[in-house]
Parts: sequence; structure tokens; C-alpha cells
Amino acid sequence: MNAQAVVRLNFSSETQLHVVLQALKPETETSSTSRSKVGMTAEGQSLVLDFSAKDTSALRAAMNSYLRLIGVAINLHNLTE
Amino acid sequence: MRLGWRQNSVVLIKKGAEASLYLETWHDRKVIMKRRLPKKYRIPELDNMIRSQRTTHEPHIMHKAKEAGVPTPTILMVDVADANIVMEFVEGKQVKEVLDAVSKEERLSLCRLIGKMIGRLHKNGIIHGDLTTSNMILTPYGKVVFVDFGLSERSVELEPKGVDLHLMKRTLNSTHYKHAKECFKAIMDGYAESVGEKETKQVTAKIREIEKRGRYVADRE
Amino acid sequence: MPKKKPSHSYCLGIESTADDFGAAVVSFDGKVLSNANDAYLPKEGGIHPREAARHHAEVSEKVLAEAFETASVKPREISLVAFSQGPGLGPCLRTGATAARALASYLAVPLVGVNHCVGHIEIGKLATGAVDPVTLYVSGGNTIVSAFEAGKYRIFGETLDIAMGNCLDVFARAVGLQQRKGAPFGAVVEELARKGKKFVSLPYTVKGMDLSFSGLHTAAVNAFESNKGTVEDICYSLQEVAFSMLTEVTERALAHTQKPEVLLTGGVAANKKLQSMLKVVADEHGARFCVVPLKLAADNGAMIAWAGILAYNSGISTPIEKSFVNVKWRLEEVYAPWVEAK
Repeated sequence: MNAQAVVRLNFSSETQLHVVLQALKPETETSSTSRSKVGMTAEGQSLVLDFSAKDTSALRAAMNSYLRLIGVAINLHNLTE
Repeated sequence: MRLGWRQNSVVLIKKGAEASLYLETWHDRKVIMKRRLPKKYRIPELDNMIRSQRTTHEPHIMHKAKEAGVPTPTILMVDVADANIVMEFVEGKQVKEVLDAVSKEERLSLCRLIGKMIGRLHKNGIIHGDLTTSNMILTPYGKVVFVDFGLSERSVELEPKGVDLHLMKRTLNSTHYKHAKECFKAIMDGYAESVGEKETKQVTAKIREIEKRGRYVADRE
Repeated sequence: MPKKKPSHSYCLGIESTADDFGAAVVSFDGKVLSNANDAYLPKEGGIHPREAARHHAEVSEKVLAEAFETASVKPREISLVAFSQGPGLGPCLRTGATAARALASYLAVPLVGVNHCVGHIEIGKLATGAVDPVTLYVSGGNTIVSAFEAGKYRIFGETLDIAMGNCLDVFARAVGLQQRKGAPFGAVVEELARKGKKFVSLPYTVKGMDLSFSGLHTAAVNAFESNKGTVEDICYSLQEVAFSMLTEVTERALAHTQKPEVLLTGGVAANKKLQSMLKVVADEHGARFCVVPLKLAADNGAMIAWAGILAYNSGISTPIEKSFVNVKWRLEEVYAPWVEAK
């Protein structure tokens, strides 16, 4: 693994953080490949994503797909309010 | 299903999807007439082609199976234009009816015999194409006669052998699910007696591969 | 076992196995209140899983909002979220699964993962009143002949390579046909086939109960390129051969199982020619022919919601932390206790 990135997302509500964490957790457990791996933890009001990948393009692909999925989960919050 | 047809001596004994079987008396002999009736859903050009191809092909391959040491009904007459085949009536019961009814010991020895026969077919480049328990008849003398070679083909490749046995396995899983596992194992044991351990291993791996293929859009993933 | 919910309970179903992102609200007594959808239409070539997944992520909020609005049901009134868990394209499934988990979590309601193929069968049964059919499920991704036996939908025949719909798509693209919104390749081929006159011989491949289509589209493309007929003739011949194969295998399953009904479901079910051929066979065997209505034929959220309700009512739900997608989830792996044993 050569390429690494840590992304910290700050949430305004703990509920939302909890929901995103729940929605994405099964993915971190199954979607890792030989090209990339993702770790996900909650620290206070923040979600910390730890990406490691074979190269920068694999890193970008992993980051794109995770950030997009997180976007899906966050956006649905408006719908349920 | 038993339906009268034309006269008492002619009885429709099986209305299959591919062909209908009639029990008839022909020159004082009890015979099966296999008729490939036109399918109304198919256009005549395609229908005639399929029916005459299968009518020509089937007796030929049944003869090859006999040469390989696998009992098949004796062919008495072939009429390609009408897509009719007249063959010997085999006394006995479909394996489908027998398999779940007999003792475990009998069941396993029957399956081993079936496997041995399938092995003989494959070893001689014959792919049955429709290995279901309805297409095997257990005679009172303990022989298993293979019928319905309408979808058979000639091949020595691993792939069609795997597909052939995969269908056998699926028939067991769908129709004889209670004993499917032990039956298939016994079939493969019998198969190995005919083709050897090495070939059996390769075919077994092939069957597993076919199962795993998970036919969902393989080329789109 | 969870209590049966009263009929004013609603399930939200999310479908995202391939090119469609669908969401629907279905009541527990089986009324489809909404069925919103947005399809990813590739500019050229087949489906790119990542591109389709990106499309799904972009439209998810809009499609879900539409599903609630059309149904006049507020998200807080939902008592179950169902999602398509497989089989399908990984990135697409994951997008729908994430949306479903998030909603179930926000709303604090149970989640249930549904097998996509079961969804097609169950919505067909709901819409047509079929009880115990031999089902031919044909779409861009699947070609399966199945019937219920001992707790599961058993597969009696299926394609050994590509799906029927995929065969039509690949052929259509190769000969330069164009698909449009509302008229996928299958519909375009059907239109042209009606004008075809000459039958061009193409390989007819039935192996026992199984089918093969990969040689068929290649042969059809070759026949077109070597001028054996007009594009209309080839479309006509391709349909005749392919649908005869499907009908033969369905008839074999029907003869074998003696079921009282034949159900046609999935995206290709919209094809009138295929419908007419299966009807002939059903009639001959004294079985009732049922075809899923057009609006529920292609991949949709309603089928997922309904199959989710059936599963939930028989005590099945999927804990969020175990709701992994399963890209190769086979129909016969699904235990279906909601189906009445015969």
C-alpha cells in the first residue's frame, strides 16, 4: 500500500453521525480489495475515514465512492425531518 | 397421465414438452411411438428443422450409447418426414418414482449404477443433454435403461460433461431434495468407476465452476 | 415472529441492482401507492457499474422524495424499509443498500434485504393473482425458469451464459440500433421484428432445461453483416429462435411440475411476441397464463417493497450491521416461508 489519506468529517448532530456510521459500516467490512482498504471510526462529533490504496488512482476511486455513499446517507436526513 | 387416442390399443403415456410418447401395438409387439408433434408456438420453418434434426439424430446416438454399453430402447423404425420414431417398450419404472421410495442401500447402489452408465456415455463422447430421473427406467432385472436422447450431442469436451452432470445434480436438488446429496455422491462414485479418478476430479471441478458462475451478467461485471 | 402489521402500514422498497434506481411505497395489504424510477442510460455501450452507481447516488434523494410524495405517505409513516440485496452489480447494489440502511436508521424501523429475483416473482404473483406458477423471469441480467417446491423457488432451467435481454441488447448495439427513453433495445427489436418476413436460420441451443444465448447474438450479427436478410428479417429470426428456446424450456418445466399457472415476469415480459408464444403452451397444458403488467415488468422498487413485506410478515428481517450486499445471490438460496406449501 503506497497511497494513504485520512478524511475527517465533522457532523453537527450525533444522530446523523450515528446513522452514517451504521449505513456505511457493512461496506467497510466487505468492499476492501487488493487495491484499497477503508477504516471508519467515530471520534466525538467527527467521522474519520482512513484510506489506504495500492496507488493514487485506486485511492481516488475509493475516496470517491465512499464520499458519494456518505453523501447519499446525509442527504436522506432532510427527507426524514 | 393416461389418455385414450384413436383406439384402445394406442395410449398416450407421456405428453412431454419436446415429444409425446404413445404406447402402441406394432406387428404384435408392444412398442413406444415417439412423435414430435408440430409446436404451434414455433414458426413452421424453425419447427420442421428442429423436429427432423432431432428425429434423425436421436436413433443414431442411441445406437452409439448401446455400443458404449449403456442400455437404450431398440429402434424399430424411423420416419423423418413425420418426425416419428418407433422403439421397443421398456418394462420397468421411472427412476423418478423409485428413488425416494426404496431403502438407502438400494438407493445408493442404484445411483452408483446410474453414475457408471453416465460415465460410459461420457467416455464415449456422448452427452445425454437431459439427465433427469424421469429419463431413466429401472427394469425388473435391475438394469437402468436410458431414454430420451432428443437433446443429446457428441462431445469429448469437459464443459458439456459438466453441464450434463450439473443438470443431474439440479434434478436431484429439485425433485429428490431429501436425498440429493448422498445420491449425487454415489453417482459420482459410479462415474469414477467408468472414467477414472483423474477425469472425475476434473469434471467435479467443472460442475463446481458452473455452479459458481452465478450467471448474472458475467460480461457486464 | 413480528406481529402482522395492519393494512395502513407501509413499506418503502429500494431497487438498484443494475441500471434502474427505483423507490416505491407499498401498503402491507398489497397496494402499490407509488413506484418512482430513474434509469441510467449509457451514452454508448453497456452498463458501466461505477457510472450507474454514480447516477443512482445523484438521483436517490429525488426518487425517494417522489415515491413518498406520489404515495401521499410521510417518511415517518413507514414501518419497514426493504432493499434489493442481490444479485446485481456491486457498486449499484451498495448505493441502494446505503440509502436503505440510512433511512431505516433515521426512522428507527426494521430493514429487510430482498433477493431481486424473488421480487420479480412475487410482484408478478401479486399483480396477476397467480398462486403457484412456473415462472419465466427474463430480463437484461437474468433468464430463469423456476417453480416453488419445498420451501424455495427452485431453478428448473436458466441461461448457461448471458441473459436473454443482454443477448438482444448486444445484438442491437452491434447492428447500430438506438434505444430511447421508454423504448429500450428489446422494444426496438420487437418493433423491427414485426416487419420481418424472411426466416434466417440461427443456432437453437437448448441443453436439457438450460439455454445458451452467447452463440445466438454472434450468429445474428454475422447474418446481418453477410447480408443474409434485412435488419427486420434478422430481428424477426432472432426473436423466433430465442423465444422458441425460452418457450420450450418453460413447457418442459410445466410438463415436469404440472403447475396450474405460467407466469411471465421481468423486463422482457413486455414483449408481445414472447407473451403470445407462452400463452399457446399454457393453454395446451390447461394452465392459466399470467403476465406481469408493463409498469411492474422492469426492475422497480414496488417488487422489492412487496417481497420485503412478505418476508417481514413471516419473521424475516436483516440487522443493519449484517446487511451486506450479495452480488451473486442465487434464487434457490432463498428460504421463502411466506409461500403456502401445496
